[in-house]
Amino acid sequence: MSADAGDLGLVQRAQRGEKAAFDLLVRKYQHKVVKLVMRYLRDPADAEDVAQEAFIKAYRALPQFRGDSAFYTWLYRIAINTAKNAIVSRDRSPVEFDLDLQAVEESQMLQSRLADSATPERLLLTEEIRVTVNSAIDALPEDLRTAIVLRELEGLSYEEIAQAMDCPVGTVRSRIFRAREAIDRRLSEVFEGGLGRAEEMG
Amino acid sequence: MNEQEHASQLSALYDDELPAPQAELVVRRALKDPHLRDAWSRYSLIGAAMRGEPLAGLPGEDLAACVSARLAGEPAVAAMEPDVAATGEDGAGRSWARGAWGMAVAASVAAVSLLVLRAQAPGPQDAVQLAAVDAAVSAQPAAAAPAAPVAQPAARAAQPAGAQALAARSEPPSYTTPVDNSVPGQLINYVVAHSDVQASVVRFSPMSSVVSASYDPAEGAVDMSEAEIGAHR
Repeated sequence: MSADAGDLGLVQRAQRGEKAAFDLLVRKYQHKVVKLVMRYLRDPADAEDVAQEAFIKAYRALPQFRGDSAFYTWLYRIAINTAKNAIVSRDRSPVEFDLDLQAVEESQMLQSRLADSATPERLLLTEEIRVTVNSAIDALPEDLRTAIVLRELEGLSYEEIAQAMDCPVGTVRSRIFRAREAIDRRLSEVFEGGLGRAEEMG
Repeated sequence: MNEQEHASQLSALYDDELPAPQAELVVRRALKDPHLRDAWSRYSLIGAAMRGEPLAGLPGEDLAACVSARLAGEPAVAAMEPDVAATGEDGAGRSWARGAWGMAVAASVAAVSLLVLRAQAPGPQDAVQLAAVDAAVSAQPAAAAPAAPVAQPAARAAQPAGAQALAARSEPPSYTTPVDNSVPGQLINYVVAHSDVQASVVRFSPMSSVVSASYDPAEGAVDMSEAEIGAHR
């Protein structure tokens, strides 16, 4: 199975003019790109603006993408360049980040900076989402939890997870899907309740 | 195939773990089905929440929706440039096409320049006059050389440095272009005759050397003394 086949298929469709295909790529990578850009920009709102700009640039540059590298590698390069250009144009010094920081420390730092500027409603919703996702993962059966953690946190392929869990690839695929479905069910409750509460607060 | 199976395939597609033929079908389905697209977004959100990434895709503040809105006003990329994937044309091919296009433009500019220069070049009458001047100029050194071969260095010593350089190249002491009412033609003669001093002249305005030459419309000729020529070196 070719790695990045799904992304490549979407890219090729976007290259043929299907903007909806590019929209799926944006939905998939928006969080990662914002996280990446926040290594360079202090303000989360600025980071989201720059992430938007990076996606727009990527869309305009799609005709030049030939699939020599994975789409996200190409996209990340665009995002980093866009962030650096934003720093230069706004004459701001970049945030000094040690890129070798442990993921937990980095995450905490990003969270604290997000908390500095986010609206109360957004903070509340964000926190609820995190708590819900974590509690949903804790509530998963062991095999589902292991599969989703190895995939989302460790970035292992289905083949690697199958080897680690000593089961067929098809079983890994099924376990990851069931884990997502279980988390998604809990999440949909938060979205409905969370948004309702935010409106009440406003 | 039921909805659960569609969603299962979407999950595998999200992880880039679906074989290409199946992936094509699921992508096609997802592009038409908003429920599948929303599920795709939530898979992304779940992963981001697990990794502690900033949650950019929250309802009401959806980054993807903002990007989509901005792209709505953009032409489709297929309209910007020929599709690489669809045509099978690689980057080298496109580079070659760009190079050929550039060469074609350069050749067109060169052809137009040649036509313009030809239109401004001296006519047959001027050519006869120029030939006569050339013959007279070439006869001068030939006649003078045998007569005073030894006195030449002394005479050169009295001349300005620029004039000495001219004499060393067997150039005439002065240039006289034939009578012509069209100023551009005279200027071309002048520029052609002084092409060897171009390197020094370009340090100034291209027209500065031309202006310094005295042009008398009444006489219809441009005269440059050796001293003036030397001053331009």
